[in-house]
This record gives sequence, structure tokens and C-alpha cells, in this order.
Amino acid sequence: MKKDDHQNLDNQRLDLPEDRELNRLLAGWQAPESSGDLDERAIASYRGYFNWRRLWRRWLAGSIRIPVPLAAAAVLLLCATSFLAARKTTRISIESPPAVPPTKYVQVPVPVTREKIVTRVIRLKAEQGSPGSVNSARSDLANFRPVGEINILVHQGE
Amino acid sequence: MTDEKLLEDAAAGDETAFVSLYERHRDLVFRFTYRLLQSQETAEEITHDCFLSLIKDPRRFKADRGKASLRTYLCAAARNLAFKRLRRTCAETAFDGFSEHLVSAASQAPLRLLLDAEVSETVRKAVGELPPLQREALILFEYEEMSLAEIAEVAGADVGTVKSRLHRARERLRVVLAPYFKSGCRV
Repeated sequence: MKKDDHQNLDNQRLDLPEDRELNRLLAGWQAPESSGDLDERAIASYRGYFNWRRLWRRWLAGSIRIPVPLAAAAVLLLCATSFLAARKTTRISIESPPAVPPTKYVQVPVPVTREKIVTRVIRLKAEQGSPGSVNSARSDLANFRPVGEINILVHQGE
Repeated sequence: MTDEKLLEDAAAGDETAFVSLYERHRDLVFRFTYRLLQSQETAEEITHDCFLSLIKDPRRFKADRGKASLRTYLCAAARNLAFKRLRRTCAETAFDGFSEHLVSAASQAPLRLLLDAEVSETVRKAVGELPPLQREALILFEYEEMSLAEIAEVAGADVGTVKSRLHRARERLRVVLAPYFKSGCRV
């Protein structure tokens, strides 16, 4: 197949001296040998990969041998522990405070009265000189002088 | 034993099957990646990652089994990882591994070796300067002897596109490497 390809490819040029020369020159470039280090690394990686897989397989599907009395004791111990644990759980559930009933939310329809808010402000002007007005009070107190002595008389009410 | 059977056993934890599979395809993946990126360190990393991802998820290959061989599948996986790196490093290429290779060749030293090393270095540079898709097509065709159909599978392109890339790559190399042609022909 290779020869056919060469023939197809080089139909027009194979007889030219340049191509023979080119092939000769290309053949002069030799690739070096791979180092022995590569072989060691490849085999080590292969072993490492399978050791790792074996380790996982052992963990997932491995088995161990136990004497029957030891296995029976282990089973009994497991049953006893489970029983005690179950009892403890029951007691805790009895002693535990009653659960708070969940809050119920009831939707109550409330009639809404619409109010009209009036924002008009009415100012009333006080008449000048009228009794009780601020200005008259100020004029009355202008000449006020406190008395020197005050006698207080208390009358018994009826 | 077929690749499919070896892969099945290796994915089930059979280390011997993995080693057989790895030794069968290691050089192809490494050489292809090295020529594409021109860095030994990166090529080794990608080769390592390719095989590990194949073992971790062999179903990916099984899904494509109807149309792809493990050889092309691995090359496609390596190509994707290599292009991802190329994009990440903005086509920055490391040449450290190669210069060491050159020095060791030069230290053996007669003139012939020195000249070969020079030519080899020039070819390496010329291939390295090709656009990545042309480089990929050239490497798989010239060095890994893949057919155009296989390259098309690796690159996820049709045969016509691969043919065109290959043609342009060779044209470009012919211009760059013309001074090294023995017959003195110039394009």
C-alpha cells in the first residue's frame, strides 16, 4: 500500500534526481533511541495503576475470616447495643416537651371606610384691644411690680 | 498474539502482555513524537502517557477498532498530545537532546561523520521548520512508512488533504536542502 501511495504521489517527480537526493538526505536524520528510564517509568506506572485498582477492589469486595465464637459474641454485642439505643430513644421521646402547636393564620376580611382628608387651614385673626388678647396682656404686665409682703388667708370650704 | 488480545490481557492486569504490547509499539510512538517535537524528554513523556492512557481506557481503542489499527491509534493519541504541547508552548522547541546526540557523533570524528552530522542537523532543522501538519504527514510517510490512508486516519483528515500536505512539505524541503544535493541540482 505504501509503495502504491508513493507511486501515486510521485508519479510525475519520482524520476527526478532531486527526489532521490531528498529521500537520501531525509534518511540521514536518525531519531535517537529512547532511554531505559522510559521503560522503567512506563512499567512502574502500569504496576502503580493496577496496585491502586487492586487496593480499591480489596476495600470494596474484600473479606476477612473470623472464628465463630468471636462472630457470635460480636453479633450479641451488636444486638444488645441496638436494643439499649432503641430504649434510650423511646425514653427521650416520652420525656420530651409537647410540641408547640403550629400557629394558625386566619384571614379575616376587614371593612375599610374611606375617609376624605381635608387639608385646608383656616386662620382666625384676633381683634386688636379685645380682652384676653396677647397684646393687651403684655401692656397690662408692663408696669407690674411684686408686693413686698404677702398674707395668705385660708378659708375652710363648704 | 494480536494487539487486541494483548491489550485485553494488559487491561486486565497481565504485566507480561503489557510489556509485549509496549515493546511492539514503543519505538514507533517515540520516534514519531521525537521527530515532531524534536525533544527527547517530551517525546518520552508523551510515549509514557500514551501507553498509560491506553491501559486506563482501552475502550477508546475498541470503539475505533473497525477502522483503526493499534499502530495508527497510538500515533493519533501521540499526535494529539504533541499538538497540545505545541499549542501550549507556542511551538517552542527544545533542542537539548539533539545537541548531545550531535556532540557524541562529532567526538567519534572523522570528516565523514562530521559531514553526516551536519547534514542530519540541517535536515532536522528543515523538518522542524515545516508547519506542524505538513511535518506530521512527512514524518509518518517518510520515516514510519505509513500509507496515505493510515496517515489520514492518524491526522483525522482525508487522503487528498494528506497528499497535499505531503506534497507541500517535500517541495519546501527540496528548496531548503538543495545545497546538499550531490548532483548540484537547484530548484
